[in-house]
Amino acid sequence: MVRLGFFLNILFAWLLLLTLSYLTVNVVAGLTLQNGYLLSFIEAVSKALSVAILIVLWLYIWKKLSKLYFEKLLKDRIPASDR
Amino acid sequence: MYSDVDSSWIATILSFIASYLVTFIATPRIADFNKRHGIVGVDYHKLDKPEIPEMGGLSMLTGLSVSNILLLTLYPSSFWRTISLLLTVLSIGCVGAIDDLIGLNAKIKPLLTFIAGLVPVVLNMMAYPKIYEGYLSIPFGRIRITILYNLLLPIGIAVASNTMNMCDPVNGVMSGSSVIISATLLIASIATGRFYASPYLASILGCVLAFYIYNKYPARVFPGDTGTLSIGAAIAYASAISGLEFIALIAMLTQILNALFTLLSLGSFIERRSISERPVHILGDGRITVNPNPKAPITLTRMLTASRPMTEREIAYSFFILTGFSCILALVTIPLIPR
Repeated sequence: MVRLGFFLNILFAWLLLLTLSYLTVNVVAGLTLQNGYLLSFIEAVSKALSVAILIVLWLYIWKKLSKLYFEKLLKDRIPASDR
Repeated sequence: MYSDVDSSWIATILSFIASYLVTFIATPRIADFNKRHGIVGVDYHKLDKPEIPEMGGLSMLTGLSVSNILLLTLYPSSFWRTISLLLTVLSIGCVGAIDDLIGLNAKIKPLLTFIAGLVPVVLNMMAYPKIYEGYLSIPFGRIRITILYNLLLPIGIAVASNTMNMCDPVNGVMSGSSVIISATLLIASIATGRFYASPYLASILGCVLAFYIYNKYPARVFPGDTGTLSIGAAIAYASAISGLEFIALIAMLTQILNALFTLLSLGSFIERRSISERPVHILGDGRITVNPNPKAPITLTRMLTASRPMTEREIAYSFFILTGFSCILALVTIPLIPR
């Protein structure tokens, strides 16, 4: 059961990473501003920030779901007298 | 020179054999030397708490260095790539050796590994042709992050080395998992036609495979931070050289998730020697069971043993099965990575 939980956790992290890279390639990389030194700098910064936000979002979703599953699992498995 | 498939195959086999043999011969000698000089660690998961030689990872560093020097001699056209891998791994190895000998603050260690990870960035500025061009191959496309890549590379090296360092809970886990991960990356480099990177991945595979023989249950030697940090860095940088960063990230998901669980439960970087509550306890029959104290860090080992007490060997195999699963997902991802 625990090992199955980990398999699902890894699978979930993998699917989230694939979604993240799809969004990066097809949405973030598509952000373009007009030519110009300052504008291309802003473009690069906004792209980096978008990816950073996506990674934070990835971590947040993964953390919430993992916490939900594994904390419950630990609570269920450890006898109440030991807690 | 590696663009030629035949020479690449020869280089891959040569580097594997050199790395394997040197590590296999050097490990017991280094272990004996360390034991005589008091460089030992306690094996907490055994009832009699034996003292095992620490810092055995020096033998893997030796194996990697010899095979890379061999590549430098035989294939001088790949000078920058080879020397950058060699110097990066040696720099991270030095951080590990300092930590093994005098102990480093848990917050300083990641910073030092980041600084050591700057070595390939500096070398890339001097190199001609460039070691890397700043392209990141991810599923569905390639993105050009010329400047950002110089920051992401040392971060990646620091994350991979510290992640590996945090994922060595019982005998043979780090070395055995590294065998699975480096073999996966070697297959990926061949499958994606990146033959020029295969010799580097083969040299990592050779040294971890030889070291696993001595490190598996019951361990005769521990890798120490010298071994764990340098192997993590070697895997990270070799995957960067081969443009397989994403594949390496997926292959290392078990180790990364374990590190995330631990860090989230501890709240910050804390040196394992200073953690008051160990994640697991040893039963009278030698099996390992969960520590019920809620203050104990949530590690993968603690969660695995939450279902039932397990032997050290069972825990190691669980890690291998999970790493194997991540590596299968990594191989499934290969067709999505642009050539």
